Amino acid sequence: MQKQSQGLGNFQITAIVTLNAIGVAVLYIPQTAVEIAGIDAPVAMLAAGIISLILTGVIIILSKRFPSMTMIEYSRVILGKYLGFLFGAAFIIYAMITSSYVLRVFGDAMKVLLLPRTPLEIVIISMLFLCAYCVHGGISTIAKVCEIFLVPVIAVIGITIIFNLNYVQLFRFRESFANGLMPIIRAIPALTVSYLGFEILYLILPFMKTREKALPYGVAGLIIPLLVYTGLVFISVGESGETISELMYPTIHFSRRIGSTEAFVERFDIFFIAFWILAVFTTLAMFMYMWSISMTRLLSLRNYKPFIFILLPVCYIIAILPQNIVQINVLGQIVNYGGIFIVTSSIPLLLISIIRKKGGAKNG
Amino acid sequence: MAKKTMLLILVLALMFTSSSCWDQKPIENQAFIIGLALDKGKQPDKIMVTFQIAQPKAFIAESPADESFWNITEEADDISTAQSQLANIMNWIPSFMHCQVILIGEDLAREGLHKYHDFILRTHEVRRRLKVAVVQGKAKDILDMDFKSALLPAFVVAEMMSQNIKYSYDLTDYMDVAEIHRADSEGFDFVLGRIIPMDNKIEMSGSGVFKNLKLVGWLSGEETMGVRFLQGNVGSGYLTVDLPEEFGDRAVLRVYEAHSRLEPELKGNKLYVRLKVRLEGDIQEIVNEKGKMNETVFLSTAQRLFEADLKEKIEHAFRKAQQEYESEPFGIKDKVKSYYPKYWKQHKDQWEELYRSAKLEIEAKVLIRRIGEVNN
Repeated sequence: MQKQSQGLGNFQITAIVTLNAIGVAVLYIPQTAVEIAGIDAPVAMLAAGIISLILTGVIIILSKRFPSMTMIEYSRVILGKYLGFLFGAAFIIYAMITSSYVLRVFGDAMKVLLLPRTPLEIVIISMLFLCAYCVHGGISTIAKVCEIFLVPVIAVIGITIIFNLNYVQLFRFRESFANGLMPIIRAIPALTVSYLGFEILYLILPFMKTREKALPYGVAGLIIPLLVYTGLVFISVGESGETISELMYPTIHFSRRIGSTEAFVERFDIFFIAFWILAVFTTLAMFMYMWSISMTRLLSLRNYKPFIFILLPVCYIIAILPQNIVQINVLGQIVNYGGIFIVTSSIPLLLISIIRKKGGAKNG
Repeated sequence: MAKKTMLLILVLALMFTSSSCWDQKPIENQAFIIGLALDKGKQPDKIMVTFQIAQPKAFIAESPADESFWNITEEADDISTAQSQLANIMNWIPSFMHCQVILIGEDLAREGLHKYHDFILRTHEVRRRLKVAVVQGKAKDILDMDFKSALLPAFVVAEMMSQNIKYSYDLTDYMDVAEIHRADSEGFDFVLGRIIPMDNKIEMSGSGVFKNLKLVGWLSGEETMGVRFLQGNVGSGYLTVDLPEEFGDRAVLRVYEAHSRLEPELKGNKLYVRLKVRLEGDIQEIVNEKGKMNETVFLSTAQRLFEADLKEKIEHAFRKAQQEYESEPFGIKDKVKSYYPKYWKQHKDQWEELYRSAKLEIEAKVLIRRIGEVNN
């Protein structure tokens, strides 16, 4: 535990969770949601968000039982040496693949939206090095970056939502629940994935200044993505109905709509993309932090910084491997299943730790 | 050794930092396509794409270029081939980023837009809020016109579409690329604003009715007004009504606020379309040669007259689209689907019959608030 001198503030935890959840998915979340849930997408999104809130709570309660340990260490205490090691390894692989996936989706989106003639490799490598530099500064650096970026990122997405509310045709939502609750329930696992990022709470609780406040502030961190995502899905269904499921980057089109009609700022989409890059940057930095620190803890080492650069090429290679959009989606599926496994396993972990009386609430 | 390494690093650093403009794209070398006209090609299965390209140099004061734009027409199998043909004949990079309007010629529209709208949807450069209009005649002619009011025909058309919509009910700019996409994927019909080329001027009124992305007929300005009320796409505009003899000839109402709300209702297997219209306006002009009148009586009579007139026009537009063109550009299908999802699921295939027998019920309310500066 280096640089324990200050520790993370409460608001920093909120910012970290928020910006880790808001990442590449902002661009295509309406498409995914509508494709799976149809017109019920906003409701499904909300439901998935509430499930994620509960899972966040579980993770925080679990982590609070082991105040000075990260998940890598306490999973060994709970599950025993070998199973715990396996779980930790699974977590690292998951974080690794997720960061590669985020990188690749980011690179592809940049090629379509902003830099059509820049090679993908350049986009990916420059982002990787930037993130590596940020992660090298430690968790307090990441937290500060998140704190600064939180307001602009939320503001840009918020403006997009607010200025599109005008065009929402409420009659479309009459169809909600028409097919019963099944489409919503079926959509929840796939949509919970878009809130992923709160698994960072497995790792960062030991670095907090006041651990008692972790629960309210951690959960608050997920309420913002909940509102943002539900809002985005709401405006897209309200405006375009189910056609949204045919668009690759629907959110960009909604942000463009502001410039072309309100005439107070031309080409709002450029702002949107710029601040979206910040969101991707923080997400990526945190996933890189996740795998580097988990790796260190797994091998019972102290300094995680060398691991950033040791594992960087692996991350790059996984990101560059998929040849086309279909293969990227396969990677995305792996990330989804892995993510669901990682976050839902917090429930059995908590139960086992209670049954085996490992850890305790006495320390906070 | 250390010195040499430092030197190497310095050289590398300078190499990358001092080459600032090596990949620049100066604005004069960009071919900004500001308008696109699609017509049927001379050969079968080909289209004629006219690109209107702005010349940025013309906007600089005292520039050597005298023309502010030029049009290049390419005949090709599809739009992207035409675009690459365009790139072949000029040294600039064509870009759709600033495209203002897409005009579709009548012949092509009658054949259908299926084959050609994919490029527009797929290319990221083209905005989804891009305006689309159909031209009664050749679309190319519009872009070739020489307008007095502005430099670039594409700008004139785009501005006319967005500005005049506020003053007239005869036009429509309801559809854009995004809406056409929706129409295609969800299978509903629509109307596009109509532009008629005349010698050295254009007239923009009325609309073309599309069914299955094919132009099936035209609606006049008045009928387009009816369509707009049914769509709920109303803002401000002018209404004219013939007055009974004791009041004069005609009265013109300037509508500054309008609301219309369409709700479908199913009773048994019959569709009732309920439309509620509410207008607020001021009297703009009374054409009257007889002189004085009593404004209390006049107002109540005029309100009734406007209401009746409005109802009739909307009814007429509805009948025409329903009976003559068998097209449904009002968004009723969308609403039936949302209002009666269960019914819709079972009777999806019978929509055509359901619509053909649909009955329109209008509730119109016109409120005349002021009568202007004179009081006679």
